[in-house]
Amino acid sequence: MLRVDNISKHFGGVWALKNCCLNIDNWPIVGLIGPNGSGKTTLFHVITGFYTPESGKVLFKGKEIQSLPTHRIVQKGIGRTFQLSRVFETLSLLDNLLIARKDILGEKVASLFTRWEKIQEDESQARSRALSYLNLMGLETKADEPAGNLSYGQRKLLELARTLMLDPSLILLDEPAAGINPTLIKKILSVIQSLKRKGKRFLIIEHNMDVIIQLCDWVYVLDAGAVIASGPPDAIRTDPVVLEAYFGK
Amino acid sequence: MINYLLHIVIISEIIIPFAIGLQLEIGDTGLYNFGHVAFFGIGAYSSALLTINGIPFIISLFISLAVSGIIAWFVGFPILRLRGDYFGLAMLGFAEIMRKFFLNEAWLTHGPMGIPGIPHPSFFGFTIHTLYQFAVFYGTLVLIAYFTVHHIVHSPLGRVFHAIRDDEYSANAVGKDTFRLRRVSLVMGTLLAALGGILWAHYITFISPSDFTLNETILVLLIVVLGSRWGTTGAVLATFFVIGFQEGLRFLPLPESFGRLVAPIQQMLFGLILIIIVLKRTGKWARKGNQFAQG
Repeated sequence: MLRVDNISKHFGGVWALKNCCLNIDNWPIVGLIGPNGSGKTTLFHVITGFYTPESGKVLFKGKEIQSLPTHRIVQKGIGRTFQLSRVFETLSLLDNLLIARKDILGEKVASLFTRWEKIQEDESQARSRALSYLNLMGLETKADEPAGNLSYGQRKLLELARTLMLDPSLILLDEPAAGINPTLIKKILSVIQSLKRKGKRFLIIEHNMDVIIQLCDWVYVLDAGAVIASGPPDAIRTDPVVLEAYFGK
Repeated sequence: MINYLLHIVIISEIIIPFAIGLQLEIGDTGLYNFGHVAFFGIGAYSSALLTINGIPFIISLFISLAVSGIIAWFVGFPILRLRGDYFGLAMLGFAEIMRKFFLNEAWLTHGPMGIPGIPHPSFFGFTIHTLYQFAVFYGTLVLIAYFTVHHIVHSPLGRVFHAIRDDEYSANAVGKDTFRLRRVSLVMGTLLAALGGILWAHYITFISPSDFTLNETILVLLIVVLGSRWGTTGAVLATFFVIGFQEGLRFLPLPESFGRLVAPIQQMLFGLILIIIVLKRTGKWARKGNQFAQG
């Protein structure tokens, strides 16, 4: 599904990623942990094309994607959320989701003036799908409010719903549980698990070890831009190399 | 007096497409185009040059629109790689280049002398002469432009423009080719500006490089900022308001010797109003920090 092969990325003199390798083919939900500044989010940005790496390859479904622009990578089936959630603040919740579709007829200039009825038909079909995702996140009562009104946790849910709307085969989540109350965390976990049963793959950055242990089938540990350990979550938790990276010797 | 009112209406009808084009770019897509006047000028010059060389108005209208749109398409290729203020400054530079072009390429543009004797609009053997005819004809064109833009802004295309305005990186992350979409918005805004320029050239019948300066950009920017809360409709209403205000100043009982100061004071006043509005409206306009959180 996704293989990161010897990726390096530097900013000025600092190597954010150095010969980073990982492979998530064998596990549906893979965790990515590591101390702050270890390069986890940078790796997400590289995978999704926001950054171009200096060297190395990213392979998705066997094809190299490291030099493609973001929108092409997303269209190939990788969805992501951001660490500090990013929603379209002036758009309604419903529009936030409606926009997250491939090849929308109504976004093509020519069809706006020739195929308006088909566009409306498309939109109303998509609307019912969007509403079902809003329902799933418990946001359906706010469907017509601007997303700028939402609280921090609700924005995370909306962002997750928006990513699902794209129907990606791989979903990258950047700290889905950070700053969210325990009830909402449970909700997010159950959503992720039900999607796993539907065959979706996940790569998750998370600092909350409980979440990692409950969700992940495999964990990679990054430190200073390189993978220092990997294994099942229980083993990782007691790995001396990992403990050293977090707490020092 | 009634003729003067008609003149104000016609001038407003000329400025409306110019303003709703900029509203589409700045207000709806977040493209801070500070060089919008360049395309007003390109439209005016191309239609003026075509018609004084005998091309019928209707054909010249479409050719001039196409020329402006194509120029915007190519200019957008390098400049749209810039974002936010940098884009605005590059467009400001482009507008200055165009002004110098109008001024110095005398073989084509007649240089500082400008182009006199531009024919009135005519179609199917009918030529527009009276102010009433101008007001009705231009009004019709403006209505078509308004409803077209209104349709676009309230369509899925307008929705994705708004999404880019709100957060371009998120728009990328949901699979939008934001470079292409910003370019579409730039070209649409340009076609509207060019329409305004064409209407201007054929009403005033004389154009010169001094018609297309930063002052015009500031005027239209003021209109867009004033009306931005109400979108396209706001730009239309703000145009009538600002043009009416500008012309109304002439009727102030000012002493004769003070008269020559009115124009510069008006410019200062517009600049001041613009500063005040932008300072007051910190909300939508100021919060544009599109930066990644590093992790």
